[in-house]
Amino acid sequence: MKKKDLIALSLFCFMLVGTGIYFYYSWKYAEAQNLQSKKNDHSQKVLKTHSHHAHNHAHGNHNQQKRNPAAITPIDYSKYQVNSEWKKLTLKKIKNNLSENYLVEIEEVRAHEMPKSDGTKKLVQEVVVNITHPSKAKSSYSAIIDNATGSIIETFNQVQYEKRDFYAVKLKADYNTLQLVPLNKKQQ
Amino acid sequence: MFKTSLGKTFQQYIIAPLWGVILVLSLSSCSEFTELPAEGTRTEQIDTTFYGEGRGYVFQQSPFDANGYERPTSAAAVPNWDLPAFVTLENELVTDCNMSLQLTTSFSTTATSNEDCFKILNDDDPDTIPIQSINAGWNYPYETKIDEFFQVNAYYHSKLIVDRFLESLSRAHARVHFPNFDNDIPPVTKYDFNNTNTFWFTDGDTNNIGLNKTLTFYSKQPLDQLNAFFGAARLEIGMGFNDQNFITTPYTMEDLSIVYHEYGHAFNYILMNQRNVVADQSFITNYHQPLFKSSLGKQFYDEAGAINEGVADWFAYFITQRDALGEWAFNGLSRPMSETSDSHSANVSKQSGERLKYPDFTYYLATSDSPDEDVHNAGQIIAHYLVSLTEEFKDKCISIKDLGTNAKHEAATDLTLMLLSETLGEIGDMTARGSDVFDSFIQSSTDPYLGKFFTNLNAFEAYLWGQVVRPPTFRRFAKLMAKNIRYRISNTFNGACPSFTVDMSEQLLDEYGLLLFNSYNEDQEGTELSGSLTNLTVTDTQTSTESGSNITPFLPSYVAQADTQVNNLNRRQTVLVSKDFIDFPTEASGEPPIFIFDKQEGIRELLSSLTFEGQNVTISEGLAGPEYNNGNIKISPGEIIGITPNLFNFSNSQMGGVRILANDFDHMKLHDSSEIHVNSTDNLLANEDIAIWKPCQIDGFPLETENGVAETPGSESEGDCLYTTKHNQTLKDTTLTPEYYPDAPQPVCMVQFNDENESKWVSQDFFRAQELLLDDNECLNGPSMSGDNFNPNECLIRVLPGGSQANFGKIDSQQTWIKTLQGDNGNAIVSSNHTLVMEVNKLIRPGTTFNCRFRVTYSNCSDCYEDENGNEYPDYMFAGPEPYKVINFSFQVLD
Repeated sequence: MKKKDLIALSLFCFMLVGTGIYFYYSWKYAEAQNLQSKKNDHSQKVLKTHSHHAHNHAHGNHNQQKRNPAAITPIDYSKYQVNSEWKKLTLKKIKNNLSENYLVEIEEVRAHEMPKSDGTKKLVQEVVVNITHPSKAKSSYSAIIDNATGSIIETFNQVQYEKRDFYAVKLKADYNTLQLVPLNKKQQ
Repeated sequence: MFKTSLGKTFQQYIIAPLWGVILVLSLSSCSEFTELPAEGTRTEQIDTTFYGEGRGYVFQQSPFDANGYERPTSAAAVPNWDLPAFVTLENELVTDCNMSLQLTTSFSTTATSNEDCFKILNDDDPDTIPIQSINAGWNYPYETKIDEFFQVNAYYHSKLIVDRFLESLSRAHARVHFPNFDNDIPPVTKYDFNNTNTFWFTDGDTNNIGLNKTLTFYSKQPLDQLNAFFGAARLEIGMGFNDQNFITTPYTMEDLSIVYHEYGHAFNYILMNQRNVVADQSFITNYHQPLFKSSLGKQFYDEAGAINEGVADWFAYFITQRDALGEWAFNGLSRPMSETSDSHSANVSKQSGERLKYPDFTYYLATSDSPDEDVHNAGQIIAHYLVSLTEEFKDKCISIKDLGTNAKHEAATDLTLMLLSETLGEIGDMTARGSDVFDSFIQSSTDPYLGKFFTNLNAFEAYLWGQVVRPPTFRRFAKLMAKNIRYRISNTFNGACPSFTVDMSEQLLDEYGLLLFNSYNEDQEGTELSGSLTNLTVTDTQTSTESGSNITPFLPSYVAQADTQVNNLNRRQTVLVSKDFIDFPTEASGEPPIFIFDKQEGIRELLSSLTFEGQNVTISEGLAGPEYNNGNIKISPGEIIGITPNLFNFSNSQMGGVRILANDFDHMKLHDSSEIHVNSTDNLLANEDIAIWKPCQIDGFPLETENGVAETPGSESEGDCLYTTKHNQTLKDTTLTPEYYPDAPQPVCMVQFNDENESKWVSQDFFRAQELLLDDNECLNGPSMSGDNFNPNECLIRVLPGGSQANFGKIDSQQTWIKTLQGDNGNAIVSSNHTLVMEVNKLIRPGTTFNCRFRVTYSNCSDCYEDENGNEYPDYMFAGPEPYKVINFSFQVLD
């Protein structure tokens, strides 16, 4: 065998091994995916959208047709008194209770027609209030806002910290003056 | 020649194309497996560790646990702490979730979230991006890529507990919807988890409703102290990081018991809100659309928050099978869940009378000698009860007791989770129906329960009732747990474990001081907005009209049950105390009845704290504010005032979960039933119809000569003092001029009016019109602030909504609350949850006297929840004074 052919044969063997390695890893990857697919043998995800990453979901058996999202009937705003400044008013009311070193922002979630017991409805806004504490810890909660006045009707979905001392007001009952006296936080 | 020719042919026709193919395949292979490091920068080498396997380095136990329950110097010092394990084949740490859902006795499907269930990020910085897999593996070692390592572990353990939770919830659903016989009590859990998406967080954007929402888990959230949190508004779990202020590790994430505990909060929220969904029911009329979500815990301290912590601790036990948590992250502050735990400092045991009993251990912290009011401490009672209950299932249930350790734990915790699901679902129900069986979208025109509400009063007041008036207390929680045990565990025909009898259940509750009720109240009273009432005495069977209304057929039927009473012989540890025994302290005791807080800086701090916490304490700017606070310990015009009543327990037993309510209630009577209009500017046109309210007599106050209305029991009708509103609505606004309902709840403070040498107690509206001549817009929370919810009876003194209740963990016998909390060391820390907050109109003349009616109740009260026959009061009764001890706080406004 000439040297040239020997080189060609070696190259062929090398390519054969390379091809084998490639197919081995491809097979291994496919097997792993197949295994995971079996774990995730779920119904087709009709609604899910991922713009930020690609998924490789196996589409399993469809035992039941998944429903589509419900569309909210558009609100007829002309029926209600709406103050276009409601968000500014709400923000002002919240800031009014906080010292300057707190940061507040309001995220609009959606408008609701809040049913009332007499059959009428009231236009309200659901928002998320985000407050950053001077210590940088954050609080967020949902609030229902009166669209006409910007006043807070109700708050809910409060954050639950395990340790709450950092935002607590701690007072001491003073028996001499019958008043509550703020404790010096540094001494706590 | 041949050889050469063959060689040429070989090269030309085989090798060259093969190279081409290999080049193409190699490139495509590279593009598929190219490493994308966390920071998004490309590295020179291709990492083939865990190539295509989806595996990564995972720790299965906290360093403390992995080191044989001894504290190591660090996680790195524990041999083989982290080992390779399968994580995910996704490119990012994100996943949807699935659960098996039984639709008939023989057919099940798979419910799948229509959005990701959870995703993992390092922290909540807007610039933080998710890490990605490296060649379909997760080669992020602890030693070199610690942040990424913890994100991988956050995914692994999130998946572990979420999968287990959904598996268990699936079994709970099957049990309550497919019992052996008809339902004795209606199922709270919805029948169709798949279409209602109620097995996970739900919400949606402005175009879509009822979609699942993604929980975001931060594995390294920088915080001022080592901490962790669950946030329901943004659906976040944050595991704190602090490299300055820590004991054993700057990463809370290293302690898996804390991770599972935080997931416990998330699961509690899901269970509480499983009925509060706006799913796609557009083809069904009257489908409920609750506006609010429920939470377990509204204040800095309350029993709801304690239940939340206790159940969250149980969720740590659910996975770890251990009876303590937090040993690693908060070393020295580990929290026990069983009397047998080494973490206890108190003399407790499993022996009768030696358990962690309520309310004795409400302020118990194992590492401290002083009373400590904290939701985690009080929550230990709930956690101990739940762990003991689960252990009872392991020991008693025939289908469980012979299983292996892990299978036994799984089967027993499945039963406890079913009870939690049904209990929390009912407590948190903002539809106020209690079950889809009673929901208006299901009921036919002949349904016996058409239009009735069976929990949290009604759909309009459900949030107020569920969070303030009848919040999740230890009593409410224990009573519903007991009801569900009776019918879903102990029942001979339908029960999962009849060998755990009703007596055993009552005795166990009693050992923890939680047998706080007399009736199981199966025959509970439902209310209707019209005011009519219906007991659950009629069997509701599925009709052809109703069939299919719950998206898919097989709606469960319900068989009415007669009221059953607790066996009083089982009440040995639990002590119930009459409301007669709580009041302000006597003068002779030398104890102050009330503490006032009016320092300007302190009030600003209080308002900041409450606002940060999420309480609605919006003030009437311009008419009252901290700028008017003079710190003279008097209630002065324009001030914002904090008030802490120092109640005295005159009984010989402890009182637990004491609450003071200062919210509006039905305690005034319209002077003339034709006077129905709210006294706003618009209504001045109809001045003869303007409403005048007179105070109803409560415990003889005020006297009739002081304008009090006294009535004789017997023939109460709407508008009378002895008639309690059935719906708690204040204003009708079908007309341009709002009208009061005859039994409208009214603010708690009235004012003294001197008329021709007579002193009378009148409404604030009357006083401002007759004496002060104030216009609507000079009222607190005037029409410009409150719109059509304006109530001039809070024109002068107004309790802020977010400061309208005070919660006290317990009061010792023959003691004030302050002294109870002081303990032996003399220090009592008063917090925002102890303080009622009110604003004082700056236009009040000094010298004006007010009286505010505060309603007091507590969880081990013998006559606050049941009538003299032991029958539970219906929800609407809590709109009036009857179930409470009413205490009068009188004060004069002074400069």
